[in-house]
Amino acid sequence: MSEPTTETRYQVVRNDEEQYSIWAEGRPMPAGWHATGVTGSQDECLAHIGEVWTDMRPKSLRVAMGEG
Amino acid sequence: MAEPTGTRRPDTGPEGLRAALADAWRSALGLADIAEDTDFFHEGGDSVLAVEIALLVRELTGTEVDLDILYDHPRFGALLAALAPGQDAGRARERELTGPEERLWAVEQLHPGTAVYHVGVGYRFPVAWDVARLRTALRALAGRHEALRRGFVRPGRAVTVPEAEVPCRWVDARGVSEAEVAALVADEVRTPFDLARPPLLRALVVDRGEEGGRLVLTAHHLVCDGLSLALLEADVERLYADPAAPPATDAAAGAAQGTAPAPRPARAHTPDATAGPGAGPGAGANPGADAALAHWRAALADCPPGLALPHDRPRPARLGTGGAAHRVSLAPGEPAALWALAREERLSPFMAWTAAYVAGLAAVTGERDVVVCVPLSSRTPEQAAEVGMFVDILPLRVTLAPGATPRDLLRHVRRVVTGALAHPVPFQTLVDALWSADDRSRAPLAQTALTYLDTAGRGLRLAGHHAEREQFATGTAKYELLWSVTRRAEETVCELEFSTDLCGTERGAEIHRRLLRTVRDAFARPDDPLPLAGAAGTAPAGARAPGAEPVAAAPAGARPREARPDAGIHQRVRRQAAARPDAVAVRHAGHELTYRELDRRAAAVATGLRRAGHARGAVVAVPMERGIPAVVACLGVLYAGCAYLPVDAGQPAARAREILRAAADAALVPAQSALAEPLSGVVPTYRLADLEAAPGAPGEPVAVSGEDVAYVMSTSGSTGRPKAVLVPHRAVSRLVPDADFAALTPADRVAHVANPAFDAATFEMWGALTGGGTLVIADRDVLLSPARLRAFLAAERITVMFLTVTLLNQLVDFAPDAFASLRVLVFGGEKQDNRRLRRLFSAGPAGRVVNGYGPTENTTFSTAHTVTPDDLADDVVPLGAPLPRSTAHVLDEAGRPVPPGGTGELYVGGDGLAHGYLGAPELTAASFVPDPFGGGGGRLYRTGDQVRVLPDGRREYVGRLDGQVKVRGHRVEPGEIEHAARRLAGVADAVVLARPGPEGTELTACVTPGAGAALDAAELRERLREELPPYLVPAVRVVERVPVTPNGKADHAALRDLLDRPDPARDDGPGPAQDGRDPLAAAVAAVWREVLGTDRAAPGDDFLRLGGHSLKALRLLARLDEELAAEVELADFFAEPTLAALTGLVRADLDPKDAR
Repeated sequence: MSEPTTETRYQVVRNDEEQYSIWAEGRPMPAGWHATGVTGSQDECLAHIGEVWTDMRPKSLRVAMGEG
Repeated sequence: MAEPTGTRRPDTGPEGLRAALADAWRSALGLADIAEDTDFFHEGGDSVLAVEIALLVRELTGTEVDLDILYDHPRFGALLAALAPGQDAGRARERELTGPEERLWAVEQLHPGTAVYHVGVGYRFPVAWDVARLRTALRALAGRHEALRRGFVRPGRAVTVPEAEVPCRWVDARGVSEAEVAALVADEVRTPFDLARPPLLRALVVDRGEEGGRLVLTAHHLVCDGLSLALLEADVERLYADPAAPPATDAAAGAAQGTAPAPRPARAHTPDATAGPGAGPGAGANPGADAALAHWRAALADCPPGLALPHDRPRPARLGTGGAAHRVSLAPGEPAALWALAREERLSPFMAWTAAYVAGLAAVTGERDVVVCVPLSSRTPEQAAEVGMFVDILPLRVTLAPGATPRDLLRHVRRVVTGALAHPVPFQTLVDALWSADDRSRAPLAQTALTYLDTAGRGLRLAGHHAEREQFATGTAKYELLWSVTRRAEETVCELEFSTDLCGTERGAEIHRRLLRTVRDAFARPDDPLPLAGAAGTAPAGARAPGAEPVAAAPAGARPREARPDAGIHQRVRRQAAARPDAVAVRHAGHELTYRELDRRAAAVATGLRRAGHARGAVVAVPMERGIPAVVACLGVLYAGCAYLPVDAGQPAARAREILRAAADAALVPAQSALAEPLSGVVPTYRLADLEAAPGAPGEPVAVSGEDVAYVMSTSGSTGRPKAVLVPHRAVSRLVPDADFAALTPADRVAHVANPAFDAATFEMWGALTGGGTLVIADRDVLLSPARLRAFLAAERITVMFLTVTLLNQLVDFAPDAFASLRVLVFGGEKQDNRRLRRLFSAGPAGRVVNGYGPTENTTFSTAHTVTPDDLADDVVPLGAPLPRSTAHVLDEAGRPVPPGGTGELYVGGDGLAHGYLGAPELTAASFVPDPFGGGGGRLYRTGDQVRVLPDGRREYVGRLDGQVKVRGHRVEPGEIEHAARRLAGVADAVVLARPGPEGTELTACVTPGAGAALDAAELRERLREELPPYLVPAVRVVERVPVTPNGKADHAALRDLLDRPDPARDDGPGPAQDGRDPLAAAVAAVWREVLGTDRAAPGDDFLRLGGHSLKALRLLARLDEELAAEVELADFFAEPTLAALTGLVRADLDPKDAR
């Protein structure tokens, strides 16, 4: 995988399944994804995701299993 | 520059000297005629007469020749030659190397004793000939051509001796077979010359008596280029016809000898020639040279670092000279389409062949930007008749615009060639100025070359018969690829010479055939776009292979994000059980399990798990070998609504425990399991039989959604821990049973050969069982024996099978016909070997042979391609189309689709995607990224695989973008080991390299000590052994610092070089003194700085990393010879090109002399 340049800034993004990822700032946001408002370096964004994304199951699965 | 130093009288010309001497010989010997080979002593000359002649010579030439000069040169011609200007009156004469000589000399230093620059030619005479006469003619050659008296000595000087004789070996080959003669000839042309001992030309006469025979001439390119060969042929003809012919074969040759051309400073075709003696190559600073260099600087800006050759052997750190050639003969006037177009566009044959080669290279490599070396004669008009080496090379860079047609290409080549000819610069000057020596596995500037020679009419006429010149292979390669086109009277011979370090003979032949096919087909449509790699030379760019998905298109179906109520794998299996309860579901070594029994037992297991409290969503480890129990266990776990975690039962208990601790809620073990005890301490562990035997009626299988996790699979992770991939049911449903490459039905008998902990097992197990077919389990011993596997396939009437490339290769080698009865054979896991596939196809392939590619994160296969004979003919087996409800995109670093012809990272998406990594949100977020193409909030998985997009949209696997390697079959992230090493006390940094070794990939950790820490490699390795499974434990090397590239990344190439050298930590003796007060070290350092043009000179500095290369190295060694009278071999220096090592070599060379 290519390393991003040090200047690249990212934002933490999330889809309707409440799956998280990162997306370079300035690039058009892909349909179905939303900015969370958190931005920073790649490491900072990933660290944030590490804190907030606690259940790797997509939301639809959690709903199907009768959870939130 | 060595000008003749004699003080000869200016009025004594060569002809005057000849006439005067001939007179003296006639009167002394009483002869009427003096011929070239008249021998003074044979004709009655004695010591008194000899001294008289010598005195006369002194008078005539004004030089103090030795009085016994006639004893050294008893023949008239030889004596004259010895007295020729520049011969320094009988003594050897030295000069610097010319540019073309220097280039070849550098190769000789790096690869001493090879035939790589031998010129071997032969002539067949089917008529009786006079062998004695021929030998006399050959013997006289060296006297006529200074080049044939020239040798070469370290560190790079040409030495011309006064006398030499072309050795002529005569072999009586009457009654000897052609094969033996061929072996004799091959040996003759490949035996290395001693470059210091002229002549660098020898002859072999294969005498077949009345049937005639063959003459074989072997020359070293250092003294003989193409035109020289023609000159020598003409000379031999004349001397054979008339042994007493006047020595000067023609006016030009006579002039060349008589005027003793000063050794040219090689730059005659450049303004550098004016730089004069002593000026180093490229030292000339004048506007013309600058303008020429500026042309090349622009022409070669950002030129590709290498040729994207589809080689089939791993590239070594430095290419050797081993080579082979593939030869094809074309009828005169072929390829007709090329010549028709060349005439329309008024191109010379050379330019036309250049265009043809570029078109062929583009088709073979897929590259639009190629650099091809072509020879350029540096002969001046005065040198027109001189034998020697007068050929330099120029790198032509040809760039194909997208959509370029053959006509565009011809015009472009015409511009490039004329531009190059207008700006001649010695090749080495270009290398000096424009090439950085970063990648030593590739030749500078260009790795391929083209030569075109018109030899129609060239040859040798002896005894009334004209023998055409034939060229012999020397078993070497000068470039990665060299295309030699020779026009002869009756044919055009195209020969592709290739490096056997890179290509086997089959691969080389394929490349050549493909190249020729492209030339033939492409130029027939001069205004259609040229094909690039993969298109069989026929499909115009932009066409799309059937089934290939357009780059960056939306997936075939929208990704359903909603869960489907009956999407569970186990629910599909249960439907099959209901439909055909008595059909055989699983077979193993004669044991059979019907669908009814399988369903019953799985339900019992599920009930047991549920009673033990494991509900939907729990993860249950299944550490079992392939077998009926494992199948029952996995299905039972699914029936319970849980996910199974296959664990390789063969690994150490400690690591199995670690995997379970991280990912599992429970474990299911078979009846006899050594793991039962160690695992029970980690998670609740159940024996399969106990669960099945639990009383009470089994309950209904738990319904799940497609998003429920079906299994969790462990793979190597760069973070220091294995990654647990969460694969949902819908991902498996997208793979089986309906995927078009292998739709599975109840009639199928699917072999189960994969380790259950490897995700190919997903395809086998669930493919068979959701399709209603039979899963046939092969034991381990079956897999280890090709014969048994073949018997297994036949006896079990297998219809569908997956094999790793490694296993496939083994089976193809020993039992290529084993697959003929298969309906579908899928291979994957590693890059395929096309040679094996070809053998498979010729032996009788399966009905369908599929290249299945994909990471675990996208469920077994991401793309599938049915291999065709055409693929193999083209030598491109593409990845193929994405699976149903899946996508694949090749993107550049900015996430943009790569245009056809480009390479990028493969991103895959669709229903096959895993949820991510259990307990690793950061890693998941970094690897599974938003899908900007599909919409709907989907994700794409970054595979880390580098893929090339072919012009027709197909995709070809290139390699890994990261350091991931396979060690003994395991997917290994060196980063995982680096993490472990950095955690050790005293370690500041660690970089792990994977290098090919005698026993497969070897891992070495280069570690640097933290402040004040002293590290011991052996101890570090022991500590790592406690942290890592055996296949991950690397060798350890302690280094002072990790070298970095200009981009600030760890410089793996430099580390590799470092590892190639002996570990200083293991040296017992003290290193050579590098004290600043050491005068020898200071002197070496001064020369070092001078040659590199730098102010720094630290003992550890690496010559090659500081911009040095072979030519600079030769200069460095020559300067050391001058300054210190130290002779150092280039090969020795390159073995460790540091200042410290060089100083050591100089010291070693000088010490014995000092001792005397």
